[in-house]
Formats: sequence, C-alpha cells, structure tokens
Amino acid sequence: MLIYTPLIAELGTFVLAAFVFYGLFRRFGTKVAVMFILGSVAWTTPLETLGILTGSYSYRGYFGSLFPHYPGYLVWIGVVPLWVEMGWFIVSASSFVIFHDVLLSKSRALVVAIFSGLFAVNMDLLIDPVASSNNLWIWQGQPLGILGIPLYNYFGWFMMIFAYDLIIWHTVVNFKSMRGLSIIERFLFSFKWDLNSVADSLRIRGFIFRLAILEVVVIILIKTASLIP
Amino acid sequence: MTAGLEEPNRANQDSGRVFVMLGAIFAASLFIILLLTGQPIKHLGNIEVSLLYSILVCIPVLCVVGLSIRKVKMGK
Repeated sequence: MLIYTPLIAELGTFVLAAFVFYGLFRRFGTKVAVMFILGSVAWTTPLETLGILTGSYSYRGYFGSLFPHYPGYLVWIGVVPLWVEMGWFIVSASSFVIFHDVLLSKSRALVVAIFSGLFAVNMDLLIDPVASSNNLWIWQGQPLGILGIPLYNYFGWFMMIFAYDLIIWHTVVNFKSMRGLSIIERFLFSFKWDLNSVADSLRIRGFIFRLAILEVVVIILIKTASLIP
Repeated sequence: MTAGLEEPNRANQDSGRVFVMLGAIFAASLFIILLLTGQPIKHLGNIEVSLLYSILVCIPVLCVVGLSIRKVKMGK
C-alpha cells in the first residue's frame, strides 16, 4: 500500500482542488476563481523552489517507486509537485471564504488575514507531520521543532496565507490601495486604486505587481526566521 | 463586494461558500486517510497516538467550518 501513498495524495488533492475551484466559481464567478488558483501557483512556486534548491526539503521520497526513473509524482511545476501547490490553494481558498466571506465579513482586512493565517497553521499542524512521516516530502538538515517539522515552517505558512489573503482581498475581490504599498504604486502605475469598476488588464497588472513585491518580502522574512536556531 | 466583476446569484453564492469551506474538511480527511494507510507520525510512535493527535488538531478546523456553514445556512 505504501507505494500508492503519493498517488492517493496527488490525485486526491487534484480532485479536492477542482471541488474548491468550482465552489469559488459559484461564489465569485470565473475571473476571481481563475485568478485565485493561478495566483496560488505563482505565489507558492518561487518559495517552494527556493526551499528545494537550498536543501531545506526534498520531494524525491518516492523517486523510482512505481517504475524506474518515476519522479515520485505525476505533475510538476519545475522542481515542485503541482499537488503541493493545489493543497496550498485549497487551504488558502477555504480560509479566505471562511473568514472574509462568512465569519468576519465586517472586520478589518488585516484582522481577517491574521485569522486566515492562524487557520492555515492549524491545518498544517495535521498536514506536515503526516506528509513528512510518510515521505511525501522530507525535511533535511533542519533543527527539528514540532514533531520533526522546523518551527519556521509554521511561520512560513502563516506569512504566506496572511499576505496572499490581503492581496486577493485588495486586488482580486476588490480593487483597493494597500497601506505600505500605496506610495510606490502611485509612483509606478498611472491608474488609481479604490475604483468600483476596473478593467481586467489593470486588475491583472496590479495582481502581478503585488504578488511579486510581497513574495520578495515574505521570502526574506521566512529565510530570516529559518536562520534562528 | 466584487469590484467590477460579475456577481453570481445568492443561491449560487451560498452553495459556492459551502463547497469551498468543505474543502478544508476534506483536505484534513485526506491526510487522515494517508495516515491510516501509511506510517504513523514520527515521534508519536504508534498509529493510535498519531490518530488521536490528528483528531485533536482537526477539532478547531471542524468547529470553524461547522460554524461557518451554519451561518451560511441561516442566511448570515
């Protein structure tokens, strides 16, 4: 049964991601759903790639398990299995809807994003120990924190979900300026934020810009946290 | 709420919310299935303790999602 573990994880996650995508489509419409899932891939790929290239962890636990040279998983984005990014999409989408759309819909976006981040950390307290114990990914050479998982991993989950939640809320679902970014955005972009109606091209440009700049900030924070013994 | 985007009707929105929120529960269930069909969590020893840990960790997730679904069903 053990050699089928990665297949169950990968295919099961794809099915769930399709289910969640369909829910987002019904709730917000096509554009938000598509931007949410593509944004998730764009948001997680650089950090995951960096983690692999710097030797923090590996996804090669099942290399050659089904047949010679089997890479361990079926679909990859570079060196990152797509199902890992889809798992991240499931957690980010569900925490976004739970807190922004239902439980804390009248609260400040910053407060809501904090709750989303904490919810994601809670989810990862289950996901990471089970996955690493079953070699779905392997933590390498790290000081061990909770059940063999480095503590900065949980900080990383919090920061990634927190920042992505804010980006989606301010850029994809709404079109608002973000405190801290507004000065540089005013300088770089000729368009105005805080609009009721926005052309798709403007929304996409703003989305890409915010993903890129906050990705750099979050990566620096997580890598700094990983250096703390 | 969705600036410049199409707004699906209310029934679709509610069912969409429930679909997305259930994603969290199903994801947790998937990892519990992986645990039951695979290896116990390292440092916890056997499968019973690992399962107990998983259930305890899932309780807040179940509560939050359950509360959210209830709120949606009651029309917020």
